[in-house]
Amino acid sequence: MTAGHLLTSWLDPSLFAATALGTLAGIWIGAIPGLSVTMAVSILVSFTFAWPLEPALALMAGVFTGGVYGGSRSAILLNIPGAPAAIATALDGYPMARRGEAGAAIGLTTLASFLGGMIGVAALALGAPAIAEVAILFAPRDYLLLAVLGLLLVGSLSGESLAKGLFAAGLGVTLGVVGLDPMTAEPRFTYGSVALLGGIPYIAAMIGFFGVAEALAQLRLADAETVRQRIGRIVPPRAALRRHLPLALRASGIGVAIGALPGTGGDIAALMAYDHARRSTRTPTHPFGTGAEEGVVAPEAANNAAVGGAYIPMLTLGIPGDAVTAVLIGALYVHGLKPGPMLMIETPHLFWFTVGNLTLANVALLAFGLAGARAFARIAEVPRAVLVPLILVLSVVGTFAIRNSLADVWWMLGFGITGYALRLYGFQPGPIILGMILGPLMDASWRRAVIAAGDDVLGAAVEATESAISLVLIAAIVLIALRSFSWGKGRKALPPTPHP
Amino acid sequence: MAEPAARPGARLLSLPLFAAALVVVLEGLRLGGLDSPSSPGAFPLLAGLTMAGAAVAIGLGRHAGPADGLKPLPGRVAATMALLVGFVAAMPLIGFHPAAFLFLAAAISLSRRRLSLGAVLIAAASVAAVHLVFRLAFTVLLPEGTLWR
Amino acid sequence: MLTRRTLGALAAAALARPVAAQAWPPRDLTGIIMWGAGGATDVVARALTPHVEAALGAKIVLQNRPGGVGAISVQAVHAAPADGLTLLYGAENPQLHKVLGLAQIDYADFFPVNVIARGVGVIVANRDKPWTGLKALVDEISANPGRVRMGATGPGGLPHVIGAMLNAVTPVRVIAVPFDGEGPGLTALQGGHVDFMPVGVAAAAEHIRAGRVKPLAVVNPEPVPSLPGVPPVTADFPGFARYLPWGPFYGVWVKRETPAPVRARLVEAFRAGAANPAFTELMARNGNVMMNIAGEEADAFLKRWQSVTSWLLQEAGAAKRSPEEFGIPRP
Repeated sequence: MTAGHLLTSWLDPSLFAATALGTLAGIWIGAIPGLSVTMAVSILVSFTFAWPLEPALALMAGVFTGGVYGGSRSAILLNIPGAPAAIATALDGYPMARRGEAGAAIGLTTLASFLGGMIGVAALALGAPAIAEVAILFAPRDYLLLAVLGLLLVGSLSGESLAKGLFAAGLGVTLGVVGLDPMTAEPRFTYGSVALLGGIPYIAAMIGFFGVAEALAQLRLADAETVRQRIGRIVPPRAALRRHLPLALRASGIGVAIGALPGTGGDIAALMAYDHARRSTRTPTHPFGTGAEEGVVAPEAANNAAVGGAYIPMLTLGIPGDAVTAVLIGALYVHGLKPGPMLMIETPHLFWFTVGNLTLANVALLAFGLAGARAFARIAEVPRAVLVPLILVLSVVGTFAIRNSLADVWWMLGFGITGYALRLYGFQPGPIILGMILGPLMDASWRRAVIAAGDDVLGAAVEATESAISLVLIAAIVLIALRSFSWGKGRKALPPTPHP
Repeated sequence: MAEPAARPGARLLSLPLFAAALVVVLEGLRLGGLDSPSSPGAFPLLAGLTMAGAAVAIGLGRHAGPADGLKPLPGRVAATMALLVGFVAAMPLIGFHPAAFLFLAAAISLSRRRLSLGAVLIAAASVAAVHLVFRLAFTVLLPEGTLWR
Repeated sequence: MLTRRTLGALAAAALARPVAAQAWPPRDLTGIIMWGAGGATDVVARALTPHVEAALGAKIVLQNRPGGVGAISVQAVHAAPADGLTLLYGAENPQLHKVLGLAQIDYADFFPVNVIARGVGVIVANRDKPWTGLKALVDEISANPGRVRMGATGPGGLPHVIGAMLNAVTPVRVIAVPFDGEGPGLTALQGGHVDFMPVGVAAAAEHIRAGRVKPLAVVNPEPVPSLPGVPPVTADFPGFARYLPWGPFYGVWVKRETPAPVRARLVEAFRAGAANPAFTELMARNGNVMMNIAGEEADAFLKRWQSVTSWLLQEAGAAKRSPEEFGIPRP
């Protein structure tokens, strides 16, 4: 009987409208750098305070689904990821737009996001309790191993020189740990500044290194022709779908798993899926970094699959799978529910309502995504003389919006101008952001693992060999490292990431 | 100096990079990076050493950066950077709205190399759109300017 | 619902009639929350504010400004004009900033508009552990010093303070593994990565009710209604009594120099908002004890809390600066 609640949001016109509107709003929120889904959902908690629970949840699920997808729009059209989960999408999506294939890239992303989203929902519906139980078995050392696995991506993101990539990654790790150390309350790299105690948000770095640096770099070419977009075909041909389906499925699997882990979310899922695509695709449509379709399919399938994944521990155990589900748990409290392990037992209809609701949000995503693609693709045709100043204003206001901090805006500007200079010397922004995302996770997980073993590295290593999860992760790292070594011999053949 | 398409200072660049790495290493040591594997300085130290090693490799390497035959910093880019810095500096003083409007009008006119009514209209419309989305929908309190208090 | 809120607003307007404050507030207020979206402080702030808005007849725009264990927000509100238009929504943390060497500003520099509620701690263990009570846990720690793992949340956090209390009552040596918050710590506890953890009842109640973690003792002089059957710590260890009642708390502050009529207006609005039955019910359900106090009464509570906790940390060797330096009296 409770499974009948699957259809609640499809049959009730107001819930249907709330979900669809939420998805549409989410796409725009995701596309604007600096407006984050977390922020939107926490505002909705206050906004929907007096509403009944169902429409409030429907609206939030829509914003969540649409927002994760929307980040790819600005990544493809402007090379500015609208959200951290879309960083990987920019790497190949933007070169596609430069070729005049923005419409095709958006079409492909939409289908990949829809597929990933649906697989995420399916995993939630069919395997939630089991997946959640495995997810909580991940020990601090396993998060460390996961982060190391992610860091292997530096090899793919470095462009022409691995040394430059490593330097950038080290810089990113350093920037990521600025502020009060959460474990000892020791200030790091703050040099007495209170403003720095809270650290530097990596979204500010992302907007600086991608948004401002990219906008300035485009201005450098302002006399060049704007690229005419071929927008005849948005829905990819059937052959392309068949070709990318296996990869999209594997990427969705990565997304569900990473999303379900309480310590990681869609941003890491998308990066790891991109890395997987790069390593597993022998003959991409174009070389990676120059507009490979695989390079947009994998991260977009993964980050939307991570949405369903993140709901898994939230609905079954009351443990948030990422930052957005943490806010959703707060929303449940405010609406008088008790999010926790009993939620599914005492209010099972809520679980099935959410499953049905997320399905609806994904269908809405498909409809709005494809319908709006043509108009969106035209943004890439706006003359740079107008587009670049607009991007710069958006970067400033978006950075300010993260925490209402002017200091963050100055950091963002500094990153933008430094980023512009570093680009001239062949540095890529990717490894810096990767370092900022993974650095704090690695730092905390490593120290937690060592502390738990009595401040003994050897002890921690021994513990790792006694755990199946750790052994699997170690095997994956070794395997990938070995394969990238042999692949490294051939890397000269790879063209460097093109410069706009 | 036989590498192709060397940018001016390509090799010199590794010096400030190495200096930056050194700053990180020093902070790592200050935080007890060598005292305990779980100290707050352990990771900064590791990151700093990686950066230092990479900086040396960059200094000895042959990759100078992509050559595209364009000026590294054309006047238009430098001017836009200056306008941008001015915009952010003026924002707390005169408020976001006037600062953003002036920046947009100036930067668009600069890129088009002429002052036009179009630039002014685009600037006004954009500021209005930002106000709508950020101030009204997202209740972000944009700086109002201390000058008008 | 709507009518109830409207009635509440009317009642508050009738009560709050300080002459000078009639035209106040002139514009929207800003509420700065010192912890991130989805955290306990955030939930309390967002659940309370709509009721207060109704009583105040003005909007309060909420912003999260987390970082530096609250120091960033404290600094921001302290830097704003003392006009009562910028509110600080906070938790207990700033009261320890001085002794932890984080900042020089604490709640002594602010006027407590409302100390909303306080939480109670509970010591929970992994459900596969054989311990049936706190005594059994302490016995195991004494038999294997430095081997049992305790989940923590960093210096000054609730697990740290309760751990220090336990250590002061009966010397125990454990491995404290710090996590990013109580939620992640409880997750690790369920995964078996730590053995026990002192946490707030609010965070643990549902996990206890589902039997996923095992409660050993509530850190309170008497049992709490939301956890029936869990004994108070004082049952096994009477020495705890001198620190209790103790717990994290949530409140709203403005700068100390705010004009008295404005303070009075805010106090009235928050008193009415925090008395809203929907809100008090939410707080009770989360295992919090409603306080809804302001002004001098709240100041006295804040002072005592700071004195007890600072000296506890000092005795545990966890304080970076002695409370004596700041003139914090011994409890």
